[in-house]
Amino acid sequence: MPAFARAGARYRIPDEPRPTGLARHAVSAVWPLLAVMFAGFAPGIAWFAFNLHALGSPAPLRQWVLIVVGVIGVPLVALAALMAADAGHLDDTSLQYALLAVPAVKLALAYTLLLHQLPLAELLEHYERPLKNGMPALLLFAILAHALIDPKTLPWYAALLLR
Amino acid sequence: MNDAPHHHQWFDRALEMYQAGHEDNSIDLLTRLLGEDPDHADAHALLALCLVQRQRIHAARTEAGIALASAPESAFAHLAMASALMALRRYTLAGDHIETALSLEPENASALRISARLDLLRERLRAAQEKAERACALDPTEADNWALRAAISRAGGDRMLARAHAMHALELDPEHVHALVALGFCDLHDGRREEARAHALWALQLAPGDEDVHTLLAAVKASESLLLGLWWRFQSFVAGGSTRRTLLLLVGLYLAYRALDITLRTQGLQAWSPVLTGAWFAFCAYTWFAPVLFQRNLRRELESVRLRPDY
Repeated sequence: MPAFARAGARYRIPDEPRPTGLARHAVSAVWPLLAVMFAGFAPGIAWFAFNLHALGSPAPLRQWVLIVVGVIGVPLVALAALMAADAGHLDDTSLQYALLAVPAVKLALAYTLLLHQLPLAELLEHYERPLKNGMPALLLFAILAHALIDPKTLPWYAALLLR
Repeated sequence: MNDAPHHHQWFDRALEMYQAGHEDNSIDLLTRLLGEDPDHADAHALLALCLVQRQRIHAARTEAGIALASAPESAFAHLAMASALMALRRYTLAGDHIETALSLEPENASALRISARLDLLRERLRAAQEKAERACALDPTEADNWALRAAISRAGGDRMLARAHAMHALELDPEHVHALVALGFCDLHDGRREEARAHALWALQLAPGDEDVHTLLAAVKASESLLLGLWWRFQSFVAGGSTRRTLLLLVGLYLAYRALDITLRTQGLQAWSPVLTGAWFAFCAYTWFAPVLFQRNLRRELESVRLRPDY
């Protein structure tokens, strides 16, 4: 057996996942992204937040900052567009275009988190640590979200964040 | 730095693995070496080069930074940093590190080659050619040098010279992917479509994920059929580049769809709105199935290739 095959200590490359007790719950980042699309923004982003720890992200703070900025940013963007319309700067049609900024911010946040988490998931698989299948959880989230969340009964900012 | 004799062996072995294109094995060995000797600057630098090949660019930059902090006078560490910066498209900064490496070791063929590659990226063909020739003079048995000269000659429009250099590179290393790509492009431009296709597929077998190989294959397809060529080009563009580009493209398309939908409805063209929505859903379905179709198409192409017995 060559000497290197016996060596025990391994250097940790800066982008490698850290050991975590939640590793058995880690999923590919595609599943939380699909949850954003099919279950809603809040359930999907919450899953991303959990998954970043389950994957053992070496830089969790950066992703948390993104999540906080996104969660605050979505209602702020909508509020800015509505205030501009109230002040007469936007007519009805322009307001519809301006409100496209809301899905843009949601998708940008979801895809940025995906970009952070996909390489981690690939590295975990590379080190033969299998990921969990996210399909059952996705179905559960989607069914619960549609059964429990009724945007009409919620304040506008809560509806924006949940759906 | 802990100078255990087996560390030299491990490093040399890791270097050989990297040069043979086995980056994963090289990374594995280097992480063991660094586990025992975390201050081994050359190991950090080589690890950076392996990580660049594996598209782990930010980690590569960190590793090259560690190598430079331990050995600021190491040309190898500067070249590793330059490679990471080139992958990040920070060309000016990469150029500075290459200059430093060349000032430390003016006769370093690898440094000259990386410098020439940077010049080629910046379309400074004359400077690239001069450096590639110097690298060749220093190490004429290195296939990389000849493949690089082939790429530079091709970029300069001299296909005859490009072909000669690519053939020379392939004599030295018959599996040199970039020499095969250069030769394939020369064939295609000279109207030898079948040879171009064979070279593209041979390169594809060696490096299925290489963007240059996909570009060549798309060009071959485009010469067969405009529509098929466009599809291959689009699919290579979407699948080939960075994940960031793919995702930006898809988010951009979604927003374009939504904006177009609003335009249709506000312009009194509501009747077209379901058509647009249908087209959008068809596109979404396509993005799910296209990679499978594309991979199947690639496999079919690979199965169809039969190299000449005298190849």
